[in-house]
Order: sequence, then structure tokens, then C-alpha cells
Amino acid sequence: MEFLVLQALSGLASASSLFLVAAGLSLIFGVTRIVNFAHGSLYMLGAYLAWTFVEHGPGGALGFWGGIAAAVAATALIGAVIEILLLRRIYRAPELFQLLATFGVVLIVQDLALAIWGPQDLLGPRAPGLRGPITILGQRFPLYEAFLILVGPAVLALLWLLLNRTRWGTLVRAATQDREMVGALGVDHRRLFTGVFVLGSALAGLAGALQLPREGLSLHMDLAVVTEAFVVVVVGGLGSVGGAFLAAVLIGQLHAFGILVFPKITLVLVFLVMAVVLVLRPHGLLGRPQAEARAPSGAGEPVLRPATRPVRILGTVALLCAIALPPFLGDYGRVVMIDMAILVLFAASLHFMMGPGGMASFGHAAPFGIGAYGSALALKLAGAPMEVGLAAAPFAAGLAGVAFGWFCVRLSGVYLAMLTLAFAQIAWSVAFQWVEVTGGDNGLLGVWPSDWARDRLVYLYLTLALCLGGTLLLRRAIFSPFGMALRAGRDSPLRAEAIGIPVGAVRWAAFVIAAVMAGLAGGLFAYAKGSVFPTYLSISKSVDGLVMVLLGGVRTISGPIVGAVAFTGLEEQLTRVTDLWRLVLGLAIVGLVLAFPAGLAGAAAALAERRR
Amino acid sequence: MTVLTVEALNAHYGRAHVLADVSLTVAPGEVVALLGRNGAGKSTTLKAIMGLVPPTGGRVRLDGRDLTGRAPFEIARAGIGWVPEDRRIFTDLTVAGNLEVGRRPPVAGRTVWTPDRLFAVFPALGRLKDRPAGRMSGGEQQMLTVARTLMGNPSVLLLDEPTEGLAPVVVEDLVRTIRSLASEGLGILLSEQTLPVARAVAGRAFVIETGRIRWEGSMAALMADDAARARHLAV
Ligand SMILES: Nc1ncnc2c1ncn2[C@@H]1O[C@H](COP(=O)(O)OP(=O)(O)O)[C@@H](O)[C@H]1O
Ligand SMILES: [Mg+2]
Repeated sequence: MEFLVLQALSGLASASSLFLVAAGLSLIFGVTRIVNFAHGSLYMLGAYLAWTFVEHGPGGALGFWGGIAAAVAATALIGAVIEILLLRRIYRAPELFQLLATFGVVLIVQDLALAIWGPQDLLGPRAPGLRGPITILGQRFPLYEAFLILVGPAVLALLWLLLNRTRWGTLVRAATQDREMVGALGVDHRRLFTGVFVLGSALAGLAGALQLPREGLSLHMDLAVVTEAFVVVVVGGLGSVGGAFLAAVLIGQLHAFGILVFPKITLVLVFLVMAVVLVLRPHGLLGRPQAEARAPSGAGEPVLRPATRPVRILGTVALLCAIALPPFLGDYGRVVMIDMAILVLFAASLHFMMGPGGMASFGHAAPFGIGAYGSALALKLAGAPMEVGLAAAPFAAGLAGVAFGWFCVRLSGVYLAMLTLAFAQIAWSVAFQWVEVTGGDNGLLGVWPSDWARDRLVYLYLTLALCLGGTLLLRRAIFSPFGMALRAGRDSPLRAEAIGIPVGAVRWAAFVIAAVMAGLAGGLFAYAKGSVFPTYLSISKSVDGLVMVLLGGVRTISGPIVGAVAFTGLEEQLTRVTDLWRLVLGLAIVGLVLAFPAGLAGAAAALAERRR
Repeated sequence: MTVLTVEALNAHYGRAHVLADVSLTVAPGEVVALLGRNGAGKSTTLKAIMGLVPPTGGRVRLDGRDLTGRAPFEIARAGIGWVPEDRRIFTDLTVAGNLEVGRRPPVAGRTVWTPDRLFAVFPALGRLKDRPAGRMSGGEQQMLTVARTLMGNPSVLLLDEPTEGLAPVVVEDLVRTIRSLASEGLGILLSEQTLPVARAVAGRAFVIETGRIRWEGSMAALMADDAARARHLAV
């Protein structure tokens, strides 16, 4: 009994930090409609800055708490810079581009933090005055944890006062509902947005800084915390601070007790709860349906047209080059080309659900990785050769697509994206934690092609054939009656239903098709590398896919292809010439989004349009 | 003398050309009707004046000051108040909260509105001051959206089909309110699809069809011109 109470208390302590991060994320999303991937980076910066300030400060209580305060202020300032230099310029860009830009910031911060603080984990000092344990029900409980438990509700109360008792708060709440109207009433939205972003950044910085006495600081804190914060925000309801608190407590408890009951699958548990909540209450516990984000009035989705003659000629030339080139390449060149071909199919499959399907996925690594594991497990469990393994990959991914898709197609927009992220995280944690079958972190090795395909050149042609075939099939599907129905369902679900299109079923089918193709790409990847690891299912893999599609432009069909090639090329070259490839890639992404808010292929299409 | 001058305003949605050289004027204390069928371009005209749809040509001037290309919040601060057709009440806020969002500092030479003054004009709002705006009737919400815009102390009011879907008694109230606002010197541009309300309040009218002004003149002249009404308005 006492033990359970303590467990619940430690759950509450984690909930506090989670709440601080999630509240900021939620506020920022509510007002600016930007899903800020970089929120975790601000949290990480808060922690590292606090470490530096405390380490180099005067010491003692003043040094510690002054250091924390300085870190919060510095993080808020960094938030202001990010908002003013970057986000302010892209509020009118499509939602996913904003996401991409904030991910660029994540990459930049990762490398900067690595350069400044080094790769080793850092340990902070204990908090002066809050060092010892206290006794609760005869059990010892760290005083600092008790302090953290109080921080959550205190911040909640302050935020409540700010939002409900001040003019600024009223404006924020109004803008959360309809920012265009707030602007039309004479409120300078830029200043409001900057203010909200600074507040959110300060909260993230505070959460990070308060971790200092609690756990080691590492460069993985950013994505780890932002995923959990996403879950909290989505479970609580986007834009709802109270919901974020409730959800943070729920998730905190889930962690605390999940570890006792299912020590291996706490992550699965968290994401399962999120999936259940989203299916039962699609807008989260306390969320309300978003008045569909009133985009500044403007053009809707452009009509997708079959390739124009120049594009088709260009495509054919590129295709012929791809077919003719391999014999003249060295081994390294062939490896790169295999990767490119696989990623083209991966990106094309993601584009298929995002573009024509209107379903953005943050978790497309799931079908990719499940495909890869499908191949590897077919070998490990049944001794199946590559031919069978390559069939097992799309099959396994397709099955997962059927199951995940059933949940996902019920939602739309950011909620759908979050649910896909949740499923990908579930898949990842299964691969990571079910060591007996998947080998855990060590992965599965020895997944080699059959003898006839073992030569790199042969395997390259096999990959090219399957990936290009798959990509062309997807293109075909976009212009088939099925694709028309899919786009009709995206643009106007009600009207599509009215003319007899079963919108839900069509979306579900598209989800499964995308999964099958990504699974095939995953299977090919497994045999290309000879091994399978949980990283194939990781967030960063999903994000790679998003970057490729968005880089190329979600509104054009050649976009994902251009994006995948550009992305692999860029990454490959960068890792060769510099250690700071993340920094350069991040800057490139941010620069590209600022320069071409419609993506590379989109920019080219616009250029062609103007020429006509 | 005019307070609002719109010269050859053009606007596009993507490639669709929805406003073509729309010109009109509003004088202080005058109610001007912008009449047209559904889809004619009335709302777009008001949004383009407000900067919510970026004009692709033409000029918008307030008291001679060029506002073309300004951000909506700057145009609102300059003194143009916009009342959208779909009301766009902040349903999460109370009535008082909604008014607070609209509040701007007083400007010399313009009527200064306070919640109390507005409650005198719209007594129903005063009684519902602390009620969440989402839990009000359509008529009450229409009053609130007008009151909220007045809190910005505008010199010109753009009213987009304010009487649509309201009960006849409520419409009568609104007609009285529009008259009394104009009598205090506010210039009002009122968009309507049908004649009854426009006829009751407006002195002049502009008739718009497929994004062009097809007819302009006094309200009385429009009422006398059966052919014009039949061509551009009759359903
Ligand atoms: N956001 C929009 N995107 C594209 N077209 C629009 C949009 N809003 C209005 N339109 C089109 O512009 C034209 C004028 O619309 P609107 O100004 O709303 O007319 P009214 O208010 O007179 O009914 C119509 O043909 C309408 O279909
Ligand atoms: Mg209209």
C-alpha cells in the first residue's frame, strides 16, 4: 500500500515536467496552429543552459536557483528569435511545411548542443535546500520530487489566471479559436504569436532546467520529450491547458504503474491509451473540434494533372539514366543508388496517403520497419529465402496497415498524424523491447539476398525494378477512378459521400496501399543492409520520409521522387564532408522552406505555370 | 465628403478573378447598400477592403489615407470595422470577453464605445454579460458581433448580410440600431441579397454581379428601376 502511494507520487512528479512542456506546446499550437517539433529542443536547451549557468555560477542556493532562472530567460529569448526569424515568415505556408521548418530547427539545435556541450551525458548538482528525503507513510521520498509535484499545479494555476483574468489571456483564447477574426478586430497577431511562443518556450525551458537535479542530460532528450508531450497534448485536447494537465497526470501514472505491471511494454501502454482516447474522443479529453483552421482565404488544393510533356521527357531521361548508369558506378555508388531507389518508393508511398489522400503521417517508418522485420523474421523463424521474404514484407506491412488504418482514418489533420506517430512508436517499442524475437537493440543480422541476387549490381537492378514499378503503380492509382474518389474525399468529404463514394473505406484502402508499398521498400532495405534494427521504425525515419515528401512538394506527383533523391544526395554528401551534417541539413531545410514554401517540385511547377 | 473610398478594387482566389474594378464611396453618417445575389462578390468586396483577401489591384482609402495592402489589424486600427456574415463569435469567451477582444483605445473625433454604452443600445447583451457566447441565440450573437466591432471605435462599419436568418422582430431591432449608428456619424456599408432591409436604411445603393458594379444610384432610383432590379437582383 505505502509502496503504491509512493509510486503514484513519483508518477505525479514526472507528470509535472511533462505538463510544463505539453502546456507550452498546446498553447503554441492553439494560437499559431504550428506543431512545434522544436519544443523538445527548447526543453533540452533549458536543461543544458541551466547546467552551464549553475556550473559557472556563484554556487550555493543563489547560484542554483539563479542559474535555473537564467536558463528559463535564455530559453525564452531563443524562442523569441526562432519565432521572429523563422516562424513569422511561414505562418501562411501549409501546415506541414511549418512542421518541416521546426524539424529543421531540431537538427540545428542538436548539432549546436553537441558542439557546445559534447556527446557525453552531463550530471547536474542537487538542488540546495531540497536535498534530503522526506518521510511519507513511513517511506522515504525525495524532497525534490515532492517539490516538483507542487510545481505542476502551481504553473497550472498561474496559467489559468493569465488566460482568464488578463486582456492578453483573453486575446490568446480568442485567437486560439479564430485568429483571423482577432486580427480583423485590430489585434496585432504578430506580437500575440511572439508572446505565446515566448511563454511556451519559457515553460519548456523551465521544465528542462528543473530536470537538472533529477537525471543526466543527454542529446536525446529533445525528441524523447517532444513525442511524449505530443501524446499528452493530443490526449488532453489540442489547445487546452487543463486537458494537458489531466493527460500529463494520466500518462505519468501510467508510466509509474505500467513499469510494475508490464515492465517491458510501458511505451506500448502509453500509446495504446492514446489510441483508445483518440478513437473514443477524437479531439482529446478536453479538446473541442477545431473550427477548421481558418486558412487565410486563398486558393484551395490545385488540380493534379498528369505529367506535362517536358516533365514526362525529363522523367524518361532520368529513368533511362538510372537504368544505364549502374554498370559504370563503383560499389559505393551502387550502394547509394540502392538506398535512393528504396527511399523513392518509401517517399512515394507516403506521398500517396499525404497528397491525394490528405492523410499526413508522422509514423510512416512503421510500415517500412514492419516490412523489414517481416522479411527478417520470415528468414529467422521459417528459414524463408529472399523471394519469400520480399513477399512477406509488403504482406506484414499491409496487415499492420489494415489494423492501424482502421483507427487512423477515423481522424483527420494533426490528430491523425499523431495517431500514426503513436502506432509507429508502438511498433518501435515492440521491436526494441521484445528481445527474444526481434533481438532488441542488437537487431537481426544475416538477412542476405539469395545467391543469384547477391552481386551488388544484380541487387541494384532488382531494387530498381521493384521500386520504380511500385512508384509507377502508385502514380497510376492516383489517376485511376480510385484516386479520383480519394481526392474527392479529401477535398470535400460530405459531397463525396453524397455522390456515393464510401469515403472512409477509400481512405482505409489508401492507407493500406501506402503501407504495402512502404513495406516493400522496407524489405528491400533489409536485404540491402543484411540486417534489421529498431531504428528502421524510429521517429527520425518517419521524419526523413516527411522531409523528402515536403522537400519535393506534397502537391506534385514528381515531388516525392525529387525530394527523396535530393534528400539522400544531400545527406550522403554532407556526412562525407562534415561532422556537422545535421546543422547543415537543418539550415538547408529551413532555408528551403523560407525560399520555396511549396516545395522544390512545387516551385518548378509554379515556374512552368508562369511560363505558359 | 467621403470617409471610405474604394477605387477599382480587384481580387482573385487563386486564378479566379472575383472582383473586377469595384469602386464605391461611403460618406460619414451615410448607409450605403451593396446589393447582389449569392456569389456576386459582396463578401469578397468587404474582405478585400479589410485586407483579409489581398487586393490584386485598386485602392482603399479612409479619410484620404491609403490603406491598400495593409494588414487587416492595421486597417481595423485605422478605423474600418468589419462584421462578418458568419458572425465568428468567440464561443469560448463570455459576452464581456468578446467585447474585450474588440476594444481599442479611444481616437479623438470618433464616438467612443464602452460596454455600458453598448448595453444601452443592445439591452439583451447587458443581461447576458457573463454568459459564454456559444450559448446565445442567433439574434443575440448577431448583436454581439456588431457590438464587438463597435468596441474598436470605427469610423466606417462593413456589415455583411447582418439580417440573414434572423426573426422579423430581431431584424426590426437591427434596422433601428443601424439608423441610430448612422445618425451618430458612422459610415455604414451594408451588404444584402434582398431589398427590404436595404430599403429601410440605405440612401444609396451599389449593385454587384459577378464581381462588377452593374448599377449605382440612390435607393429611391433603384426602387423605381424595375428593369435593373429584375436583371441583377430578382431571384
Ligand atoms: N475562399 C474562397 N475560395 C475560392 N472562391 C471563393 C472563396 N470565397 C468565395 N469564393 C467565390 O467568389 C465568388 C464571390 O463570393 P462572395 O464574395 O462570397 O459572394 P457573396 O458574398 O456576394 O455571396 C463566388 O463565386 C464564390 O464562389
Ligand atoms: Mg456573402
